[in-house]
Amino acid sequence: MRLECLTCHGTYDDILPDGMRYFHVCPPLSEPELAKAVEDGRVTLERDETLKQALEARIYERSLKRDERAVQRTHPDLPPQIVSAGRGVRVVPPVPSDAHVIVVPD
Amino acid sequence: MVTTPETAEKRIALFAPNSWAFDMADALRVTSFNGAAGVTLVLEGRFLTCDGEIQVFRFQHTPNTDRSAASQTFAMGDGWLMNLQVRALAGTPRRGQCFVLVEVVRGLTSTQEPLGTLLQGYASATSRLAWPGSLIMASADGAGALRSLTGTDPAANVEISETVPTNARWRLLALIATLVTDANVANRDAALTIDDGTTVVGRFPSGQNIPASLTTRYVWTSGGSRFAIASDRTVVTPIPDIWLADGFRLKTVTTALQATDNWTAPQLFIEELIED
Repeated sequence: MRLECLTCHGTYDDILPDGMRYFHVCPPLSEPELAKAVEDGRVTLERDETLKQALEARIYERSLKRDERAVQRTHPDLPPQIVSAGRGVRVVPPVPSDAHVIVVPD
Repeated sequence: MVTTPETAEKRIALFAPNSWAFDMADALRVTSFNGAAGVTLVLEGRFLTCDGEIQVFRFQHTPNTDRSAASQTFAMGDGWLMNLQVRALAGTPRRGQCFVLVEVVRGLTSTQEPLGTLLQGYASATSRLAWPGSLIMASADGAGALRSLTGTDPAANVEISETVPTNARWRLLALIATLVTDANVANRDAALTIDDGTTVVGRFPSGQNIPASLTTRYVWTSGGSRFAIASDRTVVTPIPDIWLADGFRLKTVTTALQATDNWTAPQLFIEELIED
């Protein structure tokens, strides 16, 4: 199933072609996202600090970050839980075939 | 075939001193840590009863698929365990994906006292874990599963970030991703960073400025040296041989990334083990 994370809007398959589960975790803010956060007053950089310096010095996480990694269960019979659901996900259409191997008919 | 009292006596005399003795309060407990899909394990072997009968036992166990612990207890009755093996009955877990521990425990309820470890190692469809015979292995021992996996395709102006799942340990062999730059004039400079969730522990800059309106393939690969092929728009950056514990992250940090610059989903080539 192809999913879109409603926090970071990244898209991913929850089950990979090798049958293993994939655990999405939202990325930290990029330079343009940090610039927007500074502009909006949600982040204050240190005096004379550039965006590049700030990103090298610190990791800026987004609020309501989705983290699908499994929480260690205190008892094996407890249902599985993820670290954080964030804003949730929605199902999106599968990626149009971008197969890397194409069999050419005779 | 009927077991005569003489045969029973001989079996007990011969096998009992070399076996695990069980009474009604003892049991076999299997605990698995698995990431592969559709796996069912079978524990099978032979058990010598107090009557001298050799009984065949076969227990099935279904692991979780998120590498969390799944545990199950099987009562054995009075007698002696003669041999035991574990194999994948369904699914095709590879070495590094389905770690199994079989213990003798006292108690059949939630309060159990572990008394001995019979088996510990990776179960697969192609090889067996056997008692007696197999070494007691730690999950971080030996080679892991080689995997090629596709990560999250980030939205425009968002960086790539991949996190090692709970109870996994990754050795990064290569990461390949493509950056499509928009028409804004700026020199982008991408680095791959590794952090432990809070603190950066490694940074591998590509050292190449990428201007507007280009599609550039980045390769971070174990060993080698840094080079760029202009005609192929490929930038290759070496990384050290590095193992990442669960919760560690691989992420790009792109200086001067623009609002509609777009990273594709990264392709990772990794060796994977269950975390110890």
